[in-house]
Amino acid sequence: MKKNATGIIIFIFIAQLLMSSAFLIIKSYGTPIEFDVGFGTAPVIDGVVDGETSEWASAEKLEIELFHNLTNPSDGLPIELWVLQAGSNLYILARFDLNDHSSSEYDKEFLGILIADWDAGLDFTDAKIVQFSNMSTNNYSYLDHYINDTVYYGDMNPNGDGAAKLEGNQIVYEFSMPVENIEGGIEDVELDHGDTFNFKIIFGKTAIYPSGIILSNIISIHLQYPPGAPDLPIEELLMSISTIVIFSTIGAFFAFYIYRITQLKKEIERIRS
Amino acid sequence: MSKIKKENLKSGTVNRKPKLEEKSAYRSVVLSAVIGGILLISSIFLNGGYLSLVISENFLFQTLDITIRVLVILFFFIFMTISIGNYKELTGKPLDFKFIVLIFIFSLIQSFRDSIVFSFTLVGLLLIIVYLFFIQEN
Repeated sequence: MKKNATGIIIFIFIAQLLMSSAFLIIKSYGTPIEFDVGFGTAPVIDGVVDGETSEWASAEKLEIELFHNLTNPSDGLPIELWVLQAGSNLYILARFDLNDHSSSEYDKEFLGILIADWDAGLDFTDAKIVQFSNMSTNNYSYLDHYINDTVYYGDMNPNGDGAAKLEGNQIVYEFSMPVENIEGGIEDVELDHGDTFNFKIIFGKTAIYPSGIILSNIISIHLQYPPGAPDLPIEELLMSISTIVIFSTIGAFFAFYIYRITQLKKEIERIRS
Repeated sequence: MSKIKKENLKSGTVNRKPKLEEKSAYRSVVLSAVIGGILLISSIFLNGGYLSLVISENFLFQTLDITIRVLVILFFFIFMTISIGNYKELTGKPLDFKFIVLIFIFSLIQSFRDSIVFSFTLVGLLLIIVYLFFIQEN
């Protein structure tokens, strides 16, 4: 009997360990560059940084590099990345220089932003791309795609905006995309305040996705709540209150049980005497 | 003469035995309750979201974190069942199903913040109850 009992206990714990291992599939990946993005004045999406209106002045400014191979980053292309929120949109600007940028080699250049849902790790399912058809005549188009198993499909209802402009060897790409937009459906990642999303900045010289992508890097952006909004979302607030209530109740019952144990000791001593 | 002495000696041994059992049962009540309390405090930190053992996204560490959180609750259930079972025995009443259900709820509810921990705790608790039922039957 004792042997059986030990066997059953061992079985319970092995079963417990096996089950907890079998159902957990979490993607492991390197830590992307992380930053918080607050609010400012909405810039005009035209590919030009207007110094007179101080647009982008309140943006979070970051200098990153785009790499050929993210697992072995070397010889990156340095780019300036500016990010800000205004109204119900997220704005992203990328600015960089390339030698002979106006040459025909870059005529079909593109810069895109791939977005992964907050709980999807590095599974990027939404793409916003500014694709040049002819850089010398400044002809480009803004594309909103969704990605299914590495295949890019055009959105039925594209949203957001994008623009680009080359001046000398320096190019500016500007993007805007809606936050808290529930109408995007399954084609778009729904960006929410208070959550952190992974964004992949991609760059290429031929309009083929994803094989045309030659440089990329990943950043992680935490979208702050608008000014005046509560620090904690209602779900988190409810969760915190529930946690306090539940553990306080258990604690109170436990304290009552300890009190009963001390009473029991007195009772035993009374009976003995 | 010798017979009376012998009877006295025998009855003394008989009296001492329940006293000893009583003492050891009371010690078990207290010790199990203390361990249960330590596990409850650990559970408040781990399952209440105030402390995370692992920050890494690594699968192995995440599994370890969840396993520890589940085991803390399961051991809380086991020790509290032992403690309350012995307490009830000392008061002369058996541990009825009502109390087991109460400890079951108090244990399971500790994992309400995490669905994975909740699922494995539920399975673990049910397995323990099935095991206790078998022991009782035997």
